[in-house]
Amino acid sequence: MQQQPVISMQGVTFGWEKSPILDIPDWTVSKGQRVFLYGPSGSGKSTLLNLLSGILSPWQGQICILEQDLSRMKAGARDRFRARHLGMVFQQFNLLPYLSVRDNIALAHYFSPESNDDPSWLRHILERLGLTEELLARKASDLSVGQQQRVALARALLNRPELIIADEPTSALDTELRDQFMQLLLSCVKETQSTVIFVSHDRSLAEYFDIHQDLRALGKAQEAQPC
Amino acid sequence: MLMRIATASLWNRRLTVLLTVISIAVSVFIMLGVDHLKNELRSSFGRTVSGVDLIVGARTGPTNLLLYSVFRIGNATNNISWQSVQTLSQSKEVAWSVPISLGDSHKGYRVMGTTADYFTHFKYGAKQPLEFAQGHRFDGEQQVVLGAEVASKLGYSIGDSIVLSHGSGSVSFTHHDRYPFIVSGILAATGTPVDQTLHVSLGSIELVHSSGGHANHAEEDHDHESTIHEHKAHDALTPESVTALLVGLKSRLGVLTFQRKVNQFADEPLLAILPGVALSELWQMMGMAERALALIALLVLIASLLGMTTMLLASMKEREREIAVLRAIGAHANFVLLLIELEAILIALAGALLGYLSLAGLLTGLQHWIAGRFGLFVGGLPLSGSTLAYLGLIVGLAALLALVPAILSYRSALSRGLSVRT
Repeated sequence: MQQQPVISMQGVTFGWEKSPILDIPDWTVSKGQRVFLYGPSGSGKSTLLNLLSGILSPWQGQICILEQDLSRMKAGARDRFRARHLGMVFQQFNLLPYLSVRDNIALAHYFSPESNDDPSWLRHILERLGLTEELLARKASDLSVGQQQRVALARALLNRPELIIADEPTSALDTELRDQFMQLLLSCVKETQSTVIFVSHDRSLAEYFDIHQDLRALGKAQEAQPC
Repeated sequence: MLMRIATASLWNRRLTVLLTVISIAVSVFIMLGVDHLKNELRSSFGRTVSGVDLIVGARTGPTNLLLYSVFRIGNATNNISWQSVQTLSQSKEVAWSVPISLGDSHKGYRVMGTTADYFTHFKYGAKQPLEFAQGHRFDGEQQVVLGAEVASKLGYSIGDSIVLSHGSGSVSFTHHDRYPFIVSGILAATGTPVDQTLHVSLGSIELVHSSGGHANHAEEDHDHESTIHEHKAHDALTPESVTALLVGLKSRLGVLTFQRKVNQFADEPLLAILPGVALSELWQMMGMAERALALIALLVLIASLLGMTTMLLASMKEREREIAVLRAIGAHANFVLLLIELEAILIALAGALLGYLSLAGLLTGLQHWIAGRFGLFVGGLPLSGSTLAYLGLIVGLAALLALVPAILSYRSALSRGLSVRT
């Protein structure tokens, strides 16, 4: 079970301008692994996530997710692949503020119509994350940050993605909410058996994860100017 | 879902959106209004005279003859002699003929001398005859039939006494005050220049001019009784000349032949025009002004659509986050492009609809007021082919202009990735 690689990067370089800010000769994450990725700001964390999600394409090299080569897919296919197999949670602004919570969650299904519409699973995660009917009817902008993050997690889990990418999802939360969120995240991915890439500069969260990975150690990653 | 996001996003920015919608509505209002008014004016002008096959006057330009004989605009430079009128009226092709004589006025309204047949033969609109709201035709001299507007504006009613003035200006130094006229009838409103005309008999015009300003007959000596007697005699009195002759033919097929016959009239140079043909020549002249108005309407529209584009562009910055969220969930960059296009189309549609409805509502509400005020009959606003074409053009232009923010968003969605630059 540990053998199947979920992420495999070979000789990947990427940069915004002339000099590369990411240079990853070889990196593999196996199925079910929970990876804590850390590094100082500007070390290319967000860029790495953009590459993993197929939104940006590397200058060179090969990125395979679930043994599929992203660079061989067309843009539209990459988008559908992302909708179906990846769940993403960001630091903040995960939701369209003017849509209802219910519609925000439904978006995940809208962009991945081929994944099964499983009402019992939806009910399960809503209950699991404490999203009540009353909350679902509200506009996303009316929710507290903690509630918004739980909605984002529900949406990320809706299609039972193989890979969950979380980019500083707790940095806007206070300690109590942060711990609560981590518990929920980890118990949920246990159910979906998803692989997790968790990016944070908060080393105290590392205890939740099996693998700790310093981004700078991935390769000759260079200091980039903060943007 | 695309629709739901677009509507929710617009609702979220409802104040800006509302203002943009209103600015588009205003331009649609102007554009459709100009177009509609143009068409209605055309048909209103076209309705001014009907059932008259030919108008005969002294030789002048066709438009000129039409303007002074029907629209009471400008003055005749020359008259037709009464002898020619008689000859033409007795032609075998002619079913009826009504002479008209212009030149006098009353408080800015034109006075027209004619025969009582005028009220029988003159038609307007879809061959509608003139109708009396009150009273009856003039019966001999010193009686006058008022157009609807003359009566309502000047507050005259049956039995009132009116003094005519020489010339057509509203200020005249020669008043025919020796010969006051009694209002015998008031016509129902027609929405044509008839409403602004005072109708008297041809004999009255002769009488007024022979005795009033010019005083050829020196009637000062006559006592009242003999004046009345004199009037009776004047009934048979024929004018030397008239301004124009309205002609109805027995068969419309003979119109062109008769027109040629009049134009080649041996005794004096005459001109016969077909009212419809002369009207279309008039519209060709008006074409320039029409096009200028249409151009202005188009420019106003473009300005308001540019305003919409500006609004969409201005909101791009705050929408970067939305776009990042959509991309992360799996939306293709096309989705972002479509979303912005759809929002623009919705705004344009709402603006077009609002503009159309307010114009239609206003026209319906003000129909009577416009008819009374300007003598123009402006019909309601039908959702005709040309109106739909205009609305389609507006939405199409909006979609085209929205491509600017849409393509910018599309490109930033592709290149920027999920991070929002702050």
